[in-house]
Amino acid sequence: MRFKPIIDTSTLKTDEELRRFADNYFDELFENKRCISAGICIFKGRINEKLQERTRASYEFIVSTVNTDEYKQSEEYDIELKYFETASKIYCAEKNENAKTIFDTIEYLDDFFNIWSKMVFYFRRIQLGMSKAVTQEIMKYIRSMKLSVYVPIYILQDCKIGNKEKIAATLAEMYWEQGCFKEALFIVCIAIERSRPQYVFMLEEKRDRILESL
Amino acid sequence: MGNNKHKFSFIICTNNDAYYEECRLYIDRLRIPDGFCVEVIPVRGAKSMCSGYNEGMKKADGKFKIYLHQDVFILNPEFLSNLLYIFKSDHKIGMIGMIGSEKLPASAVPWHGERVGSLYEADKENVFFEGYDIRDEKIIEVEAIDGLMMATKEDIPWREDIFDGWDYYDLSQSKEFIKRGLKVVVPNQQRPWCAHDDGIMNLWNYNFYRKKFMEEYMK
Repeated sequence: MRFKPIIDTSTLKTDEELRRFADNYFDELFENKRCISAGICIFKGRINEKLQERTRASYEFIVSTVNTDEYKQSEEYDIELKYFETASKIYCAEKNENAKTIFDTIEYLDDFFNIWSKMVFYFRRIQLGMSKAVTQEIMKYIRSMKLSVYVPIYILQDCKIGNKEKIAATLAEMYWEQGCFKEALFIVCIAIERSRPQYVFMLEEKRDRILESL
Repeated sequence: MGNNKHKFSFIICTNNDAYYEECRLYIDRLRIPDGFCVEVIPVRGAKSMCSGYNEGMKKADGKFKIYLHQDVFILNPEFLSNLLYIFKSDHKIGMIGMIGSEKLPASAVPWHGERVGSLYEADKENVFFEGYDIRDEKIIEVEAIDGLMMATKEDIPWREDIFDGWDYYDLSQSKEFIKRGLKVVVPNQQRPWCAHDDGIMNLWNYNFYRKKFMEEYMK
């Protein structure tokens, strides 16, 4: 595989032009470094503070903060901020259900980074077809962390992983085996909506099997 | 240092147990070629990548060393025998990577030029290795490889005297191998051999080390 240059080489024809481009790029980055770093610190500090207040109002404040243009600019430079955007989506899906939300589960923004990382690890194990003993650990993790079904659904949607349809189908199967039929059905129905055409039939079959068992 | 010709030593600088354990899961799944064994050496609290890798190199017993980021997961179950195949194909090959630059751009920034190799992120669906045959693979000689995974069969000290941070240790080491008449190569990878959860690259100190690299190797 060949990876093309991530710059416009049509306008940078000589070595000297390329060196100057790099110098200018990094000089500008350095000039903005303090501002960008400060922005990241402020967002993290603010979010951590609000998480620990543990009130609906503080959680809503977090959501509105994540939706600002300034946040979107800062998250391009910090992976924890970037992943936390998914936490905000999860909270919005969960908040009207009469149960704990993801914000109730975490104390700090980087707690969600850890949840995200683990979920992606488990998804990849499923994608690679690892043994049941290894892939089933996702369910133990979800139970031990008391995560709602929205957590794997939204992280699966947002993360960069292949064969999402297979992962969703397997996840639904695991929920179904644990007697969590509503969650299993929910995962499959969401997966059908997002699925590539060649996987819809497989997912619909799974959905129909779950419905039969209800 | 590595005298055991039948041993692979994985050297991993780590600061996150969850990532390290997941990385180990994939190493432990690898098929080990007959007559060979594997050791894994985590390096904790390293002050820089070069110093960490030098520390690991001293502790490691294997001739074949694989310097790996903690967030790299080896997907190819035949990874170890494939490395051996590549090293045996040409005695001048000293180091193997997963992504590299056939020619480094004048700016010394690898992504300013074309790169070769593969990664899971670029080919996420293509991860099943049934029927995969290393003999069908093109091996490409490069000027530098990316530090996510660097497999060596020679011990050459990492330049912690110059690269005392977390950037350009990989390009520097590539140059050190080439200076000594050894080749640095990348397999084309019909299927990506590794996944790398690298997130967003921290470029705050990148330019500082870029200039050091250019001063040392491009003048």
